[in-house]
Amino acid sequence: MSERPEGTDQVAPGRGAETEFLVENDDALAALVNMIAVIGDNVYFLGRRVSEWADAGPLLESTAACAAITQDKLGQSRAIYPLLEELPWPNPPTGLQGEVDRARRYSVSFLDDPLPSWASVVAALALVGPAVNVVLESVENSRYEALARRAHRILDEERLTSAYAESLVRQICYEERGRRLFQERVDALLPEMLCWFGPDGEEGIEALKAEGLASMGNEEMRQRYLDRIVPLLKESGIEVPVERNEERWEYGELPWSEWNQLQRRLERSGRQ
Amino acid sequence: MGAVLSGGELGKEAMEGRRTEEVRDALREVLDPEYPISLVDLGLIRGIEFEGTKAKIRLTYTCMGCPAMDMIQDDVRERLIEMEGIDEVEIEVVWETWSRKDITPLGKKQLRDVGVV
Repeated sequence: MSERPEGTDQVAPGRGAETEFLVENDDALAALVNMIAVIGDNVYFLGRRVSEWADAGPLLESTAACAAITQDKLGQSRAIYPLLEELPWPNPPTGLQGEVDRARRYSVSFLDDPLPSWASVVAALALVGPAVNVVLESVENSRYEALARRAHRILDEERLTSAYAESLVRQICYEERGRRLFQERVDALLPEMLCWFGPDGEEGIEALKAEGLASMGNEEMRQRYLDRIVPLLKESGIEVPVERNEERWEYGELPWSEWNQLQRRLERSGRQ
Repeated sequence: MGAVLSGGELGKEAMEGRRTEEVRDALREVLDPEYPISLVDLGLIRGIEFEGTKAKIRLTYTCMGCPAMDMIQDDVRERLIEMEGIDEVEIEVVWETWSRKDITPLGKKQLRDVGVV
């Protein structure tokens, strides 16, 4: 039980109930802490990367939208991070306020460095955002109520961002050059995002399901993600190595040898 | 069929209800930092309870990226601590969903008057 008061300098303003949440199963608790850090970091770095385009979008409207999305994402990360302090886990990852606050990142490597092009921004919004949303849907009815409430609230805010990201994909793919540039970014990012949900039957995710902390398994999340992104990409003329058979999406071999399970990222960038 | 309350229970319940309304009225004096509308009329106050002389407020925000979160909490504390019988204020940010539907009719009128909504 934390004795620190709400809303002071000691506690982030997004902090929720002070009551400590108890999880008997250590595997589930470890996976829960990891999942919260992963959600927080990906939302934080997505906001941070989009913020770097808040004065440089191709149109005045897209520039303003980047500022609004940044405000949403950084706010969402500020609401998620304090949960790490509430769980009875020794030395959890700290929440991020700045880029170099902690050496180990739990975000996809695509977001490590400033996004070099508008096509990269569109790819991040169209491929990273929906992936985070699928994980949030998995914890929206979690018995960890503080996380469930935040997930529900973020998903509510995300409806507009998702619709905007879809419109950006259609816009950039309207012209051949834009489509080609976006195709390159999708090729670079999609394998990492497909790995992001983890190999099927991962122990931590199974423990979360068994404890009522999450509702979906690894493959179920990946299939839901593909349900969401593949039709839009194909309709926009983007080629993806994914095909639907009668029951599910088939996506071939994924680069698991480069996969960092703890940090949920590919290690191709060399960053720890 | 509802439960029958004893005279003592009825009195206690009525007193709690009156205290709750007094706090709600006090929070009607706390304005949103951006618009001339109270936190109550904006639909941000989601619960008022008491534990002795401690007032426990459940609060949500219009968006998760609200830049005025600290300011709003400070204003709530500052106003409630002035009230007789309240020595401590505990604020829980509940992150319940907020939309324009949560604004009271009075709040909508106030916002319309300044060209918002």
